[in-house]
Amino acid sequence: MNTTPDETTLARWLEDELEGDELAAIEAWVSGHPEHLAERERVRKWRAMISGAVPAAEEPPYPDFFNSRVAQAIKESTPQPAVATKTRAGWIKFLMPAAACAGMMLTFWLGTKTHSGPVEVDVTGAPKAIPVEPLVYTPEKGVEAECFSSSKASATVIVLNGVDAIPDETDFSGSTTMRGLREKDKTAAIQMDNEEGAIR
Amino acid sequence: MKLWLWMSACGVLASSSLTMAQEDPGKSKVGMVRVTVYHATNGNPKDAGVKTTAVPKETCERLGSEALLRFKHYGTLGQDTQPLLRSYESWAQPLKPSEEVLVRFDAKSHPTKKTTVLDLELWLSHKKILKTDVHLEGNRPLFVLGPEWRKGRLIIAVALAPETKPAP
Amino acid sequence: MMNNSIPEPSKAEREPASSVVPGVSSDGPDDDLQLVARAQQGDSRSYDLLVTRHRARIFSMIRNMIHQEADAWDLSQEVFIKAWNALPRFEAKARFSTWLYRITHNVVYDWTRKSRIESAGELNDEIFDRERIDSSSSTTPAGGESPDETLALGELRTKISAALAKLSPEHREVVLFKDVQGLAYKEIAEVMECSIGTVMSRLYYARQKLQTMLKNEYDSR
Repeated sequence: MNTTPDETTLARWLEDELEGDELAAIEAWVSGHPEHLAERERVRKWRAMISGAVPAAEEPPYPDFFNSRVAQAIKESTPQPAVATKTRAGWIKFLMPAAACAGMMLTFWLGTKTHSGPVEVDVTGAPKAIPVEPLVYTPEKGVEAECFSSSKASATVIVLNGVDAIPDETDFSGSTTMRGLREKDKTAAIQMDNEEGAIR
Repeated sequence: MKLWLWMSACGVLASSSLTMAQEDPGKSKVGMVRVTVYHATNGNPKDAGVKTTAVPKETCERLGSEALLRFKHYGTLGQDTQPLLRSYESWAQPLKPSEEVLVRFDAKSHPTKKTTVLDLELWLSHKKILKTDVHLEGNRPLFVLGPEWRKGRLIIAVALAPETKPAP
Repeated sequence: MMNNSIPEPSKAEREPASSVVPGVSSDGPDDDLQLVARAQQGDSRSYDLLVTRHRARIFSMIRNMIHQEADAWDLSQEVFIKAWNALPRFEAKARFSTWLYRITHNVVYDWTRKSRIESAGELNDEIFDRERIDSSSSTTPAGGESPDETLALGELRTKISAALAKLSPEHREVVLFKDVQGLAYKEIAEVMECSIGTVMSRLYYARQKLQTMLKNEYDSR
């Protein structure tokens, strides 16, 4: 290359983005311009320092749970497929629109005759919402969780196994549950502040 | 004229405050969450060594109805109620001033009339022990059978709390 | 196996991420496209593998941008959820990773636009003081370096992070894309939806500013 490369090509060369003939052409040109070679070395040194200290890839905490959460969110956001209806064959198909129309007219007429009020709607044929199962994750080694829905307790129950016991000497005597006391004690101000927002 | 200027200034201040408060819809409160810690034991409840508050009979019956949560005695160690915000997380510290039990939660989706889905973390002894997304309904709490303590176990209950009017 | 409750009690155990999808050979851009094609047909296992392949880079990019690990975790998931929803519109002309970075750029941009509440009250500050978190708690990924290396790398990384934090989001982003993630100018321009000239000038300015702030570290190398 005899002519000065354009700014973008030179910038790309400085960043080691060029390949093949394009690279060869620039290399030939810069051999006569050592200041650019020096600049490229400075850029390489800079990139090495940054990329050496700041990793390009770091696994997120709880990577398996990460994937599960993504899958769960996708599942929740994906509409359920409509139930396929059996198609009717033959001459019945031609009667269906007329029958539907007659049915609508009858329904309308009946509706004008009934008193206003709540109407029961049969939803047995409607797609049912699929109950979403809670995801449970225990990051600490040795800790496991059993999760189930308790109809007896009318609650969701999670049983933690393998959790370290709280030392007996730990004292909770300063805690209080009485609403009156909480309104009067000094933490009430903090609680009121918390109503404006939360951490971060 | 001066009165007019003064009133205009007040109006500007008031509207800017209103604007700031309305600016971030994420700060709006969409519910209240109550976290209660019970001490459950089959031994002498006085072994807890602290004065616990009596647990309502209905709650005792509810806990006792489930085999894994059934103990002879229950006592309330502490409780904390915090707002559930649209886009921000909240922390409950039911055994204040102790940080032994902390619960972090935020709204995973916009609450409906029936269900509130929370992204919830239980922290014990400054360690994240449990992470879950839990569906809470009006009268359907979450019970977590937690660690042992003083010859019993802690049960951490998370439930939707009714909105309370501020004290006069 | 993740929890599959109601009504039987079941243990919540960790399921190893699937790492093999039949018919997909190795880990490269073309193989990404094979997986994308399958995912576009509804193959969730292929998409799960794509998430596994790219989550580390996306998480790292977001964490370096916003310095909030918990939020970075949530935002990284948001990227993959949005990517799934937009998958039908993905065309094989571009690299999948570039396309993901574009979504990442938009997600981070939306996040940084929201005004954040500073922590209020003594309670919140104490809880969020990282030093109070049990150091043995499994809340952050464990490093693989020796203690000395970790210390040395940690110090430099801390300084670089502090310097990056002083840049505007646009300048920070261009440095992270170029010098950390190794994207080409053209790719960065596509991701940030600006011209190559704009990328070049932002990068030049950002590097100048960082090199001034990190003069001691830079000169000693």
